[in-house]
Amino acid sequence: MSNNRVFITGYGAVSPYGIGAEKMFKGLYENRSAVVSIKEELGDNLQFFNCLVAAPLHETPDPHEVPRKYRRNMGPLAVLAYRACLDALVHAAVPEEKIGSPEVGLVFSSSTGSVDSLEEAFRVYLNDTQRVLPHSGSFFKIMSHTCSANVAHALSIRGVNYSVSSACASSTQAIGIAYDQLKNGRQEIMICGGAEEMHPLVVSVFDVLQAASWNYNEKPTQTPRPFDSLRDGTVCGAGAGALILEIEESAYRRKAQIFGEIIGYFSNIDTTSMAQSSKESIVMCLQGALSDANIKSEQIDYINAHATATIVGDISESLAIAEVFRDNNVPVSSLKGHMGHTLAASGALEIIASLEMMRCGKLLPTRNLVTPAPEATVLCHVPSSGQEKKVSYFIKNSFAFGGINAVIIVKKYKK
Amino acid sequence: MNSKKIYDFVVSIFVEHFELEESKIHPDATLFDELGLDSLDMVDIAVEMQVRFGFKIKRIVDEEKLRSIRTIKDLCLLIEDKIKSSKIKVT
Repeated sequence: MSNNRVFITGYGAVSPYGIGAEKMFKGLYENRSAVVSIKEELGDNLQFFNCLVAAPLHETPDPHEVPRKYRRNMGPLAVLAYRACLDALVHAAVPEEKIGSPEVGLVFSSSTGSVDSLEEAFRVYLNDTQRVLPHSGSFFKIMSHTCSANVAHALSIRGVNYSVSSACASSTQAIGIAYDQLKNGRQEIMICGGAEEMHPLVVSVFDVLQAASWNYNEKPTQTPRPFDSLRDGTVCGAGAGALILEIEESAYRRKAQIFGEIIGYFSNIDTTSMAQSSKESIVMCLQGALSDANIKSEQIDYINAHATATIVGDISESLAIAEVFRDNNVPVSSLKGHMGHTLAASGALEIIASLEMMRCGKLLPTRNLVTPAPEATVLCHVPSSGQEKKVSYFIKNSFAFGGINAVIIVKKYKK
Repeated sequence: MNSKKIYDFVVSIFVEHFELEESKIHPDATLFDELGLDSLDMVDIAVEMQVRFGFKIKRIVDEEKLRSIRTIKDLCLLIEDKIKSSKIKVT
């Protein structure tokens, strides 16, 4: 079996800060909040929601950038995925003739298919039960592999194609699966990541489970508050993130720019609770990733936490990090305080942001973290002004409803 | 409904749904080769016919007819035929 090195040679991002990774970096480093009131957007549904804030897209890709032949089968979700993947391919400068070769594959993720398109289909159905779907492309927008199938069709990516759907761990798992494909020699280049569209139904899921923030409806920029003693839940966001992963031989052959190397991945499930992961299962996942990377915990220079600011979730993650990294004083921060929880896109977007931190040697803080909750005092938080730090290895954590855990370890590129 | 109205309806579908320029649409234009439509677009034509005129596309009989359509004129004739046979009063 092959044991290829796997490099990150490009990325694309659509975040609540706008289209393009540079806009996301700018928003994050300016310490701006992307969270806003959504009272107007909720309209008549306002009465059903406790959480009235979100981090929606302030800039949306124009669907007409996609030729009609492909666009007709895409809901807003797949358009987001398409834009992130296209930008990532351009960033990586993958030659067009290579993109269409069987050595290039795609693993893309989303929490569900397009909820917006599902709503549209039900509106037609409930209004006219003689019609099942509004048009031929309806199912292709709703199906859970809408992103992976549509992006592959629109960009002619003909290698392996998988769709991952594990809510908030989706894109971290997608990147992990893509890494495995390359490491094991099945493909030369993989496009991977995740997308999430903003829809009231998604916000309502967190609302019903009492995992959404309710206390800052009049002060949107002060929530979510990962690890903070006054945190009261998460804030849903939208976006899409895509990475180009490539085996060493291919990257060197075409003299690609290398932004980092994925050296470890692990994923597991905690079967004790559907709603959150236990400390024990997270510890196991972190240790599994370190073992896959064949490095020791003291080598990690930065942890980009999942930390969504839910009451229970942040505690499990804090205690797990404290147990695995003990007295290493490894800096930890979460980017949810800046751009909310972009769910299926969060892993990819936050890895892209962490690559930038590694490149420029300045760690981003956890926005809205003022007074760490007692359980979170065991962590070494990045100071609110940020932290100069040479990063050789970082970890990205993602956890999801269903008890899914996923951890990726990235190393600074060295020949 | 007269032939002119049916033709106008067909043109409107092709302009709105398939984003074709009106100048490219004429009675003898072939749907697949000239106008670039495919089998999924034919499904949408059937759906639009159903919405506009209220008749259902029956499996086998109508699908076969739909598949045999080559031009805009063929499509207009099929719609005219369906309106007559289903005895639906369309304005």
